[in-house]
Amino acid sequence: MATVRPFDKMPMLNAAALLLVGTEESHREQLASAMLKEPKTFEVKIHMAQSLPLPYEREHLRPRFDMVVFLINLHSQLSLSTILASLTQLDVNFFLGKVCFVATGGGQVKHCMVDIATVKKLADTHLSTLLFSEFASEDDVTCTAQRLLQMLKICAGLVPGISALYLGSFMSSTLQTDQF
Amino acid sequence: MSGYQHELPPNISKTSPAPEEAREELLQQCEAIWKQMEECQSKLTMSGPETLPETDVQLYLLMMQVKALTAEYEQWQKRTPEIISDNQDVLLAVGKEELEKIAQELEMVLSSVQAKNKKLKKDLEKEQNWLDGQQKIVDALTSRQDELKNQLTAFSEKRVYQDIAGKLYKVRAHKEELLSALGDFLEEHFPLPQEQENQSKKKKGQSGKKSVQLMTLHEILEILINKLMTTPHDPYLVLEPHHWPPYIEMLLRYGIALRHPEDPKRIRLEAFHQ
Repeated sequence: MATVRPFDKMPMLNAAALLLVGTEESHREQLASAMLKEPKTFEVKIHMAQSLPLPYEREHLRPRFDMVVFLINLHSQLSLSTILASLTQLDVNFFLGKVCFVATGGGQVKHCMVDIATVKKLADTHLSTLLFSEFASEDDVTCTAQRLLQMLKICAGLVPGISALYLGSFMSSTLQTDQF
Repeated sequence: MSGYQHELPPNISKTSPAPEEAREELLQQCEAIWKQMEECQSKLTMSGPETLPETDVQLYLLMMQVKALTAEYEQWQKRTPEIISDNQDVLLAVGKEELEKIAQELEMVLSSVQAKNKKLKKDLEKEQNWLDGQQKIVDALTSRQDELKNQLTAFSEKRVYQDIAGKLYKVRAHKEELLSALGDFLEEHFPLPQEQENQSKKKKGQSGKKSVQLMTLHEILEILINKLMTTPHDPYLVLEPHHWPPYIEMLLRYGIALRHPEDPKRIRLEAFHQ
């Protein structure tokens, strides 16, 4: 089992690769297709996994991941614990702005098995951005996809002058989640 | 596509082949950069994977972030602005590309502005129509109001007259009815018995007594009523011989008529209507 690392391979030209990690397959599919539907100026490759680490086989087929997105279903405790286990399999260099948490299902509070505060704390601890999204709403998914694409573009180094590290530190200083 | 297209020079033909020399130069630059990247990457691979520590994750990451930010800051300090190749052809190509991009964007802006304009015009028209409609309604309502006002005054006067006329007519008819009923009743029950008496008296030859044409009860009542109505200040009837005394007595006794308090020769009708 290999740890996912940010700089283990050469990048592809004018392309960005995203790794979507989450237990809910339907959510992963939905978000991925929404991202692929968006108009963009660069090529996007999306790989999906239920959890980390990724299996050894087909390792040579994987691109270099520019960004890792963790999908957390607030209705499922398993979802959170899987993500927590997966975090330890990720190279620390990813946490310099290349990780994003997406929490879903926060709208229906009575179904929530996971407290929103827990997720906020998780994101704060890992200096990462936290997005909330409702997968029942098409617009919401589209909006989330657009934001993720913007972040991905920066993480892949396609925006001159801005690095993922900058983005991460800007976001965490302006969007400290425990402040709201 | 757009209104100003004819004022522009024709599109820069994209097929114009970039001079071989320039292309070669650019490719070489790219190769150099790629080589540099490969070197960096191989250095990075040398350092083994690093995972999150068990405790104090946030502190660890913050320390790392500080380090990375410091490093990046130093890099930016060292860095000099890159200048793209000073090859004329390359510059020309880049300029063209940039201009085309700007043109495209401006065209998009233009079309969106046009669309917005169109929409605003449409909205304006709609609003204008609405305003006209409302104005028309106001006008119609105002004219209707005036009409109704006029009608109301004219109508009420006429109506009052009509009402009064109708009432008057009814009252008159009722009065006629009552009078005729009274006449009938009086004729039937209060004839002039004196006629026979007189006749018989005449036959008997009592010619000494002055023959007087007696008045019927009907006539007496009529005179009393008329007196009361036409001259309310002096409703009295002066009794004369042709008023048959029994009838007068009867009227007085049953409270239909009243005697003048000072002059017993005068009577008046009881004021039933007050």
